[in-house]
Amino acid sequence: MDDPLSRRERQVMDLIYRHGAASVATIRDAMADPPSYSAVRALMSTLVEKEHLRYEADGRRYVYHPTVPAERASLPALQRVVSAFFDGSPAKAALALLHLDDGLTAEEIASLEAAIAAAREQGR
Amino acid sequence: MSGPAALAIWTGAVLDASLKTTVVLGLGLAVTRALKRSSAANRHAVWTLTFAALPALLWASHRRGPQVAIDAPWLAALWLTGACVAAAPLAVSTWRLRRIRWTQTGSVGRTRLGVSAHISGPITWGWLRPVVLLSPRVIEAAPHREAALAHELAHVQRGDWLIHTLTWLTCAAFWFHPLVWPAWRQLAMEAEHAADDAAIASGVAPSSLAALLLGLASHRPPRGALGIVSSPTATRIRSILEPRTRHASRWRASVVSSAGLALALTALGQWQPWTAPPENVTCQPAHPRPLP
Repeated sequence: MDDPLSRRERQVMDLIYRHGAASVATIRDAMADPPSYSAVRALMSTLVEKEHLRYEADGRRYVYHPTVPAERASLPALQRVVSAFFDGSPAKAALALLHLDDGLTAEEIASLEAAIAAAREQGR
Repeated sequence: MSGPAALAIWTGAVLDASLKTTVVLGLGLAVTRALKRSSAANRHAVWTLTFAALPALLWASHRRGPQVAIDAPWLAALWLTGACVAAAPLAVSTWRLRRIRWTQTGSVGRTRLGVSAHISGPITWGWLRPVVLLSPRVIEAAPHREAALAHELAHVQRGDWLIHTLTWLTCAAFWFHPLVWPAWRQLAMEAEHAADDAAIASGVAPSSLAALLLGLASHRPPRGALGIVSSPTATRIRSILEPRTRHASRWRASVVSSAGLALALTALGQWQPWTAPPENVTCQPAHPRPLP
């Protein structure tokens, strides 16, 4: 678990945390500059060996989960600052419709859905 | 002029300008608060003017020669390092943006429209030949597609990307200033609200734009916050759904705020904050500028 992660492995872990759980194909699709499918699968197998990921069978495919929930997978502070600054998503140099860190709580989602339905009923 | 002397004058100019920056940003905040009931486009215009004033202050301070030169090379090195670190995300993202794979599907004037599976939501960048990219999920639903396109094209029309980039670089120069980054977030937020307003003014149904945003936000990891403070996205969606007139008198607010800011800048140009040298900093008189 203490093995340092390579840049690619870190990228996979970041994507897994962003998705919660994901298949190899999902992770590959989410990569900006993806290697081959088998390379991504190999990366994820290494992460299973390093005990960062575990997998479950879902029909014919495997779904990977992080072994440590996102809140507890805290990187050392300095590393986190560096990754916040240098792991910049491409969206920082563009205007994104929605910023990556703009998540919503379940209560907010429910209340906004109701507000949208009300607006639709009024024909707006 | 020797290198260390030039450095000392530059450091002095940065400090000199940063004091005036406090006043200008405070003014920007006061004016945008006063324009609370005006349009987001107006408030964005005020923030843009405010940020345009910052490099001007730095330039003026340096040109006239600051009141004191600060002979502390470590301070200059610290400033430069901070500025580079603050500008780095923009550089890294620009590089990554160039490497995104996307397919052009059409164009509007000089704006290229495309689709890419490698983005998490619609984005736009570029000035002379702007690009608007949509993700496949957004393209699938026609109301979402229209809402996203209208919003992004509004950014293009307003020149928001150039402002976004230039103001970020300004922030990098004043990275140590505690008011600069919160002010920049306000500017960025007003740009989004203004593009939302413009999209709705162009005929997009508020409910479609709101549903698009909610759909994108629901796929993000939930916030770690306690849920007491409403997230910027929730505020934005509510603001989109709010029935109101959107394009309020843009010219009046712009004229008033430009005049106010111009007056303030003239006053600041005369103000020399260092009447007495501050303590704890090694100071020496600025070298007089050589005669022509």
